[in-house]
Amino acid sequence: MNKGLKDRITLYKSVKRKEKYTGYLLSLPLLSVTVLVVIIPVIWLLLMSFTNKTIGSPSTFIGLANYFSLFRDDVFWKSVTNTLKFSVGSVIFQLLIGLAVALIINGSGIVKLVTRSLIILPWAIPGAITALVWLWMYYDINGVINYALRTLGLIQKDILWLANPTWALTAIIIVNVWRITPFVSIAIIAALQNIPHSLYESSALEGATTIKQFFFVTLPNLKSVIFTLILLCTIWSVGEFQIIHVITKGGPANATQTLATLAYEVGFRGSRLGQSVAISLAILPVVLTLILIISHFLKKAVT
Amino acid sequence: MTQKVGRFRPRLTSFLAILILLVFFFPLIWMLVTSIKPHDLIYSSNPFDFSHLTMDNYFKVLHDTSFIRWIINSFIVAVVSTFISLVVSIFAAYSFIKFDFPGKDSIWKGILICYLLPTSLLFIPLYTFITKLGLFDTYFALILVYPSFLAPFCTWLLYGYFKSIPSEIEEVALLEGCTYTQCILRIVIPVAIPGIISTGVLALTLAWGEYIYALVFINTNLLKTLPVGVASLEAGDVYSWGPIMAAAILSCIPPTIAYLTVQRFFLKTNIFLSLGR
Repeated sequence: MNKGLKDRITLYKSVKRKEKYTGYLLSLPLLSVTVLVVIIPVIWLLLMSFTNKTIGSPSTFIGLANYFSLFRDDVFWKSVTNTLKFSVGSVIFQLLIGLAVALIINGSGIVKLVTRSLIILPWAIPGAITALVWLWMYYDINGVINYALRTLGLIQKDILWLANPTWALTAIIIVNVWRITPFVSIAIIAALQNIPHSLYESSALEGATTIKQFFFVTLPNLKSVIFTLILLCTIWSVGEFQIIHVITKGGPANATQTLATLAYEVGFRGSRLGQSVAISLAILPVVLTLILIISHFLKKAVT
Repeated sequence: MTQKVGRFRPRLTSFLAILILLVFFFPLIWMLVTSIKPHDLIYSSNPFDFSHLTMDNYFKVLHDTSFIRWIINSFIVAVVSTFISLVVSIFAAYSFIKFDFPGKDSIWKGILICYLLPTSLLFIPLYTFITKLGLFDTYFALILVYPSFLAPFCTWLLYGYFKSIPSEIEEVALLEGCTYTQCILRIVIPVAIPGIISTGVLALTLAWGEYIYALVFINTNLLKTLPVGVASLEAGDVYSWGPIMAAAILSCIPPTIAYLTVQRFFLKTNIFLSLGR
């Protein structure tokens, strides 16, 4: 064997041996950031929930007292139910509407192209800002939604969107669906464009109708993206704060209070931080389970 | 014939596409419309009365509130935290692709978990952390905390992008005695510039719109970021919808421009695809 080549191979091998350390070294900055601002806080979160920490005063260990008082608290259980209703309601409509929109705006033609590039905007602009315009549209004085419904003859009397408990929850679900659906659609479109065209051609040759193609070609190929989106949308809905905080602040009478907004209320209005972390910890198991399922599926992307 | 295979009727769907766009854009249109209406029209009984329009609301919001300060604050916080996150994640994404090291999978998984953890879960422990460090009510509070979601986000996107770059060029460079740092700075980054720019722009919009941390960690009005500042106008209960919507429109302009300019890269890098795999 040629000597120069041999030298190069030994050099290459020694480089490969060093790879292990270089790999750690290069990911070290990211690791330290995540440890500092995510992992330590999560551990802190656990520890704080066993104390009676309030803003501006030291804490003492009180064991499980925070949890016991939560379990006896009606507002906490109401928030659990609301979080569930809000998340389930949101995710179902986000996925269904998102899929329908994706199927409609996928394809050629200038109209669809423009729609595809613009539709992401409701998701891209700050949620707190769009929540403000929804608040104005729902408003009991001159809200445009009531005006439109009245003009179309759908209602006789104005709906008190934000004063009626049922309507208030519906109202924030609508906003959440409006905001996340574009993301769902774009993700589904990306997957749709990845389905080999030959599948449609061969199924058409065998006489499959458009509807049959949808169920036997399109849907099976979208399975994994839809599954991931369900988990992702659930995590986002469970943790949603800005929309609810801007539009209803958890009201009326806690009708839209979720675990996220209740944790904020108790922690920063009531300044009982210990109690408040115990509330937000109720989200953790749900979220972690969902994330672990996602990461199990995404592992294939790494290897 | 083959053109039509697997597609619904084009004319009907184009019509539906316009309808969808109108529905999804109505709140944004309404924001714009309200922002250019004078006070008396906003509170007139017919919301669709556009008999006279005005730019007064924009002057009002720029003149009477700290809006310009909020923009500057948001800009500083977003740019610095995005820059930190980008640097950190370029190295990490590169290491995930090029090296095999024990624990790589768990690190990747851990980073994914960090990205997906809701901010509404972390804000209380981070609040005590920030106050302990004496950073409460400063830019540094947000600059330190934002990489908690920006860095995993950037790593995720860059990973997908780097992977699409053929590795032959670097292997040659390595064989010729290039170090890994040189390799990243001289070869990987220049080649990946489009991906890095689009990732950076997306991270900027995330930082620009962040709400809960900015709400909790900042108290002084002059230090508020844009979303919190604009939302606080409404909470004041004395402010009219005209100027609030003018402020909203102005805060939407930067992310809108950002998204429309990176759209090309956005679809090319196909970030959503990495979700489904």
